[in-house]
Amino acid sequence: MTQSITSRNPRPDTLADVLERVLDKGVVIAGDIVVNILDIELLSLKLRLFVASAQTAQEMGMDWWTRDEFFTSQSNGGGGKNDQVEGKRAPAELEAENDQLKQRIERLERAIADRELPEQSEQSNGSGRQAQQEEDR
Amino acid sequence: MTAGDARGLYLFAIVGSTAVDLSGLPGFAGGGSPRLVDHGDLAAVVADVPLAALDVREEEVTEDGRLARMAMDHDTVIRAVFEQTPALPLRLATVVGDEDAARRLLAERSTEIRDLLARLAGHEEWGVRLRREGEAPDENAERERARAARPSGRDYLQARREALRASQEQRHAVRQAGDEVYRGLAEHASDATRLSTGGATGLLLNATYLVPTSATDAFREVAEKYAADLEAGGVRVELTGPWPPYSFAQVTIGSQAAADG
Repeated sequence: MTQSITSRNPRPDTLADVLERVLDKGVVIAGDIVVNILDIELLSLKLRLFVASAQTAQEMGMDWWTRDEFFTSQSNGGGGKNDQVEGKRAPAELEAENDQLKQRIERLERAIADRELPEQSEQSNGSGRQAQQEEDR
Repeated sequence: MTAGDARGLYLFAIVGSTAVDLSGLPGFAGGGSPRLVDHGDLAAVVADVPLAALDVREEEVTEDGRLARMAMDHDTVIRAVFEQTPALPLRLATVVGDEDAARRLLAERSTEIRDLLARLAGHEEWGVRLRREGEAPDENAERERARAARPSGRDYLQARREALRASQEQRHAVRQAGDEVYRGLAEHASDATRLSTGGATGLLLNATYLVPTSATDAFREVAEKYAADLEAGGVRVELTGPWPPYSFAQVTIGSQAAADG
């Protein structure tokens, strides 16, 4: 659990905490050495939204996401998407947040690329390749 | 592209040591346990993985889905390594073809890798959140009350204006508290960055810091002081860590690979 500052021995073990640290963070290896498998940006964005909603909902004592098929793969093949969302998170709100996050990630990626690698243009090529693979699947 | 039984080598982290104890750490279903592939004094922490195991679908983005489990295992391995030696966490789901590819990476990028390891050595990441507890001002309820009282248009507008100003002032004060804590703690860190608040209500600050291990106590003391100061205002300070330096290893290495051939 995330602990309040008053406890002496914080232990960062909630899924939300871990996902926040692990998703789209860490060293990226560019070039042909890496096998690109996941469209990790897209998936991490969805997971991030999921976590953000879950945290908000938990604070309000709700558990709507356990019934929402967008968030529970077990229920079925994920047909209905967002139209089942209950609670306070309207689909339009999620979409707006989604767009915001996309823009934010874009900005961050650009900022990182500018700061760390002023000479390279590989970044954009890389994501282009990924998009290509996405289409191929 | 993940058809059939194609296999790859999942990369968790790169370390500047060839003596890391990886026993008992989780691997992937249908794959192997984490092990080291070394080249000189550098090593990659890797595990064999069937590529199909990484083919996460959209509907598996759930709390206990495959991607979440992968993230937890990724963190477990990296954390175990990080507790033994400075480690560069690699991005989730970084996969190379085979051991030769991993060694080629270590060989061709050794300068970049050493620089990064040197920058992050002796540091841990600590997360700090400021959360407002209790009721946020409910503007809708305010509006309902005003409507129920059926005031004159002018009274209504005035009440509305005052409510708006009050909520603006409160937002401003709260933002300032977040900024102050962010800056105050940054003085005890080598680097700092704000993470997304994910639109969560009441989350005033979500920051993360790269803290020298020698400054950990000072950092925590300052955080505790802020916690005590802000408690009266209904603001809670949450601290998580120590983490491997995930948020401060957001760089691309090997960007010249294509040009170099």
